[in-house]
Amino acid sequence: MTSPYRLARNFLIVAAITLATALLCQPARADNAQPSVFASVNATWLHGPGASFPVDLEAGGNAKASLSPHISAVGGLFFGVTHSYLRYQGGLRYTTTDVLDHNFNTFLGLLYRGGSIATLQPSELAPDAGFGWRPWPERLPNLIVGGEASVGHVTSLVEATLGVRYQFSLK
Amino acid sequence: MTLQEWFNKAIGEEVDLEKIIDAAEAGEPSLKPVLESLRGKIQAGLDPAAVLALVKAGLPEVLDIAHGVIHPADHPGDGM
Repeated sequence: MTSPYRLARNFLIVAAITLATALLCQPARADNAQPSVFASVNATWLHGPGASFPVDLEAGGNAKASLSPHISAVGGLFFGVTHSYLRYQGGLRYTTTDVLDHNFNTFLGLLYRGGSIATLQPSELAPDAGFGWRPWPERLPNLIVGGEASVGHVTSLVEATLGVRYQFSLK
Repeated sequence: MTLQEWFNKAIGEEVDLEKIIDAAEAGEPSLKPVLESLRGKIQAGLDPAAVLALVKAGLPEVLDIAHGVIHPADHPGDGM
């Protein structure tokens, strides 16, 4: 278990990324920023050096703001239900959307990620990739399913998630 | 080549001009009279280059909105 000081410090780093995002969004058109928060449930797999457990169920939240049609700032905080940990991440993504179906998109990005237990330490930069999909955009437009995987720059630990989101638009 | 085909080729992707104009009207109400004029010119089959010149010269906001329609800012994957 990491110290409360380190946990607070790393959470502040993620918060700083989120604040920087908000400042960067200021010049953007309000209707283009598309800020949202999400209620989140994940199945998260860990693989690689130091992975002390293979999978956990997580509950938490995400937030995002679009800086342009192709660049988004994102953040997330999750609680691992089985192994009782906090996991956080924040970063930037380059997004690509299906022109004919805006309910599916993929992304490449760079995260700063970490967590409250040794397995999820140290906090580090991690390239990530993933996708999101609204399976029922007419009936359930706020429901999203998707997946994401990142590889730690320092630890080479792979974190992979499949998740369900419920989106709350803030605009 | 129709205006639609010309726009598709120019932008490199399939676009819906009517949808773009509708979005522009919704996002920028003050542009409505000009956009109605633009829609009329498109429906009348005005030379595509002339329409695009009109858009570039007088309505840069339309290009911004067009890009937003083609590549929306709301991506489902941002929640992951």
